[in-house]
Amino acid sequence: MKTLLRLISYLGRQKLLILALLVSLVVTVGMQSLLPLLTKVAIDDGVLAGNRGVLLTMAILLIVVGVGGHMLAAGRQYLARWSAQRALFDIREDFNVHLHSKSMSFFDSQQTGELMSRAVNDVNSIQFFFQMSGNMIVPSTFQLVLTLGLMFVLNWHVTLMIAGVTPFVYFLQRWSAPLRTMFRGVQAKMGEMNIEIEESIDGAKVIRAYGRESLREERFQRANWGIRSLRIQLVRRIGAYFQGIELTHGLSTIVVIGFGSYKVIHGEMTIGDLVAFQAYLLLLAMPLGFLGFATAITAQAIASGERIFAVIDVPLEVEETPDAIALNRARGELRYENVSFGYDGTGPIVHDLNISVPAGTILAIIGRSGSGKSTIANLIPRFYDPSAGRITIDGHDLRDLTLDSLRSSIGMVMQETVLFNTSARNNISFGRPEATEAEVVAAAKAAAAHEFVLALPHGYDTVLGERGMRLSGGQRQRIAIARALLVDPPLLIFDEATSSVDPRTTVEIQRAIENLMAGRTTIVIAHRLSTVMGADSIILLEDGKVVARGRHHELLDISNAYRRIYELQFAGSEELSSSPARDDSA
Amino acid sequence: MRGGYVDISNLSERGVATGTARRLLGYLREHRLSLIGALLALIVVASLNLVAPWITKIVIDDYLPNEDFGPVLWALLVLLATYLLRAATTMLTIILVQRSGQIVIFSLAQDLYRHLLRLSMRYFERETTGETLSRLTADVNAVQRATMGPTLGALVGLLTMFVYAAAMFVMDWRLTLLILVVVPAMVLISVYSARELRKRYRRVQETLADLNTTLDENLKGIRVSRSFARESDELERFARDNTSNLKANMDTATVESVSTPSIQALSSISVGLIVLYGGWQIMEGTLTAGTLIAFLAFVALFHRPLTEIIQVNYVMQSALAAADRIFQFMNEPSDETDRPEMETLESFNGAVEFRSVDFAYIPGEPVLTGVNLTAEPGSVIALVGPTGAGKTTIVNLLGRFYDPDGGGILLDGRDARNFRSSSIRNHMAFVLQETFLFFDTVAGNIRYGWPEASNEQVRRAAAQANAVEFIEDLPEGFDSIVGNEGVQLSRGQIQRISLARALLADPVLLVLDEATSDVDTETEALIQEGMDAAMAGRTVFVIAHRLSTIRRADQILVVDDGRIQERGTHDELLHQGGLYRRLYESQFAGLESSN
Repeated sequence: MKTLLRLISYLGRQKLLILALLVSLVVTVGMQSLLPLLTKVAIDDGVLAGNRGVLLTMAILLIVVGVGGHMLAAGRQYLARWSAQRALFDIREDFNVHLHSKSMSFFDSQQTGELMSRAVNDVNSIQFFFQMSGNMIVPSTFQLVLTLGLMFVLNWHVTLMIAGVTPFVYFLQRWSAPLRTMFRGVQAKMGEMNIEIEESIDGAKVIRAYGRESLREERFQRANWGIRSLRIQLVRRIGAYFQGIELTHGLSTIVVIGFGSYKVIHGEMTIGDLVAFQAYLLLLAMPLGFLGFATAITAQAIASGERIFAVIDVPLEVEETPDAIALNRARGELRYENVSFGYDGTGPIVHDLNISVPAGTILAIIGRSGSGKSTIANLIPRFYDPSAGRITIDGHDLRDLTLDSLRSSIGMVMQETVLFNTSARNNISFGRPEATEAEVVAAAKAAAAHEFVLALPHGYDTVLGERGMRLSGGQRQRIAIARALLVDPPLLIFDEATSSVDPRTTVEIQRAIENLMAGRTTIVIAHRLSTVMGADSIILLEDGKVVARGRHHELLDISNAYRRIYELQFAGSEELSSSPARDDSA
Repeated sequence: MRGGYVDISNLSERGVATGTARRLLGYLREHRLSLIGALLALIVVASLNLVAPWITKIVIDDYLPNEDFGPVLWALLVLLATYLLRAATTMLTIILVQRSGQIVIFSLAQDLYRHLLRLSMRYFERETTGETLSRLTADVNAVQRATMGPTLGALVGLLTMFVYAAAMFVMDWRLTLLILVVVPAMVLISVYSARELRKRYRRVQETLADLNTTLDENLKGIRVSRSFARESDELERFARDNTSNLKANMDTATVESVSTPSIQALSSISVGLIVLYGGWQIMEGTLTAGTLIAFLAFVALFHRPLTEIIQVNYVMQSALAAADRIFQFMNEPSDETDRPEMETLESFNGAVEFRSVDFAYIPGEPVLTGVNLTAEPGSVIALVGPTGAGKTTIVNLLGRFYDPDGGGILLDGRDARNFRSSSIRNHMAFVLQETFLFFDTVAGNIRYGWPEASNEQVRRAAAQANAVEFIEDLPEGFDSIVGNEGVQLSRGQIQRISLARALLADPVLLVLDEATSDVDTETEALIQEGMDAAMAGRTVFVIAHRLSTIRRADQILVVDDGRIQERGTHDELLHQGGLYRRLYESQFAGLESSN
């Protein structure tokens, strides 16, 4: 009920529109209900009384009221659609705006497919409900009440006889009750199918590599078969329901003809009354048939509303404080003070972390995979907030800053490179759409991406595609680096930015961005020591704790762990220096 | 042609290609008996609809003037029997049509999914997830909608119109003309608005597809847009798409809210004329009251199908358009032309030969040119070279994810194209650059290539990939759910699970494409130890940037610009002083300065 009210409140936002809709509704339904009465007068007082004047008047009135009523109904339908579409627009905006304000941990626990299914399928069924409310549900209910009232006035004996079929309607309502659960069942099965399909697309290569097609086909078939069986049951139940309604209507007709004839024979009713009753029965047919349908639509809309509001109502973990200040021209001094953090479902990832990065210096973070390196980086743009301790930039707690100004100060290259389904140029200028061509090219050159972008079929205008499949892993990373460089931020974060780039190109990129790093605070996460040896400070992370920190030379002396990594990576280096070919190649 | 919804933009006005209709009918063929049965039943229903007005006429004209209630009761009994028969017959048609309809939809979805699993990898380079998803869901739903109630209702309505017209003519041809006189105008409105609506609804679907694509992209790139503080632009873009959709919807509302009431208004004119003319005729004594009353019932029933047809036409059109997209999808070539007559690769010792292989993903943009290579069974081949050189492409061809454009690939001396790709991959295992875990337990993911493996075997494979330690630290150990919405793992951890998956499959040929690029050096060294044992006796193709991984290969192939530029062992290549040496030096570029 709460969900239903909340849905209706969206319709209620356009107060004037709703008022106009209600007025036009009363007028049009009223005019329609007048028609059988006019017919009755035409027959009783015109034809049977032999009065041609009355007949002519009534016929003209029938045409005028009929045509006029339907023309007004056109306006009513338009208003109904308008209010429905407006409400839909609002609910979509609300959903989207709320979605964008959620913290990253929300997205970690949701599949894109699931959210999309809410945005598409559930919004769809709400749209259906909104449209039906203005066009069918409310007018039908009004029609039902008005028609029954008029019939009662015309002849209450016959009307009461018709009321005798009410228990029948009650049974029909009970019969339609399971429809709600069945609809939900279909929706759930469709969700299963969606996930199956999405995995088969995203994991296409792995499935083929391991030849597991038949297994997946069986799983899909189970969901598909389930939907089929449910739908057949559903349609049979709905079909039986509508036949029940038709039968009810038929019984009413029998009552009217039977009891009405009896009354006419005994002179207690006129033939015109009989005709009017039949016409009213016709008017009743639609609202009656619609009753059960309306409960089903409403039930579906409530179920969908719950799913939409569930997303809207998820509490914000990362939120801007009302008195947040904007970070202007950050110098880039970064400090972690006793920071601890863990994701949902995992233990703490980092413990009691204390790091200080003076403005304009380079901090490198190394450590085994899973030791918490990416997590440290993720805390800077506030994808997550620390569970204890605080992080400051230029002395401001991150939580006191506006998200927009904080994130504008950061250029980030992430481990998973996400490219958008747009041109190479737009992908690079994503963070600064107003950048000039020359700036885009300069950033691409710095990221060693210019050359291969030019070699693409349409150069910078080549659409890269969702998965960017025409590019190799290393090429995609270089586009992402160019994207970060173009923003020209005071703070740069490279999270394994060159793991798939070959060493030689990495060196090229490094040389190019060395200039760019000057005067900026830079955080570099890498496995290759060659990438991080030049850093002002290196920290070695183990299980979320800093076990060693210092410059490259210092660490070689003080940390056994660091020295071990160094030796592992440069095991071949002696050969290089002793190799006789060295001079030849130089 | 973007994700989300039924897109009918690229279809010709004049009904979708007849081929589509024929193919759809092909699915219906095996149900032709029940469909013919349903049609016959529908004709019975249409005829039964005549009974009520007819009986009303007889009661009013013949029984009421005689003040005799007895025959009225008989008439009522006939009426009751008619209603019951009509309900039963309608139920029968629903059951017949729905059973066939749902089986057709089921087979359609199943065929689509089977095709999806066998599609060539080239398809996935081109199309977005959203686009494919919408063909398998939204399009199938659109076809499904056409099998539902409204279509059936309109069919009954149209049939009823003809039956009614005949019956009305028999009863009174003059009143029939008064009903028919407005029909041409109604048909005009109906046809015009149906065409107009089709156009405008197409716009609705397009704007909706844009809206959904925007949302889908927003969701997938949310980390990026956040880190660049571009959320307000994304919100704006969404609001813009949302507004276009609102406008497109209101365009359909204009037509819809005018057309149906217009038809009903015309019907009102008919009613007025019938009352006037019929009433006058009664007074003249040339018509009975019962006939007039029967005709007043006829008017409503006769004109109603004309409003219904507007809606049904739209449903049918979008179903046809969706079917067209569905069959277009089914026409996509499946996995590198696997044909039924191809053989199964029963045994494979691991000898591989590439003979002047040429390949391009997109015609005219060669990726590999004249690649020759030979791998002895049990040898380790390392592919090195700059990014974009074609290394991954070489291993893609090895697993027949693609077939070469020129030259050939020999497995144990036999052309790979003679064998079904699935039977080739049965002997191989891949650790791919794009790691992908299924929404399943860790153990389930490792077991993927060999579902019958025991827990002990799963553990051993995980140990070889140096993954046991972190897996046991997960909340539920090997039973923890991973994948998209599962436990958060680092990339290095995901790579190690993928590696365990490949090792458990116990392949003759193992492909490691940057298998440990995100694993730290120390862990990599540990993995290396486990791997040495695991690699023994297998042919192994390794792609890596770390020279420490490469050094122990039996043969190193240096790939650049789609060609093999150098080949030999580590020592040989260093001495040659070519590209390999330069790559090697850059790896240790920082060394001199730091020492």
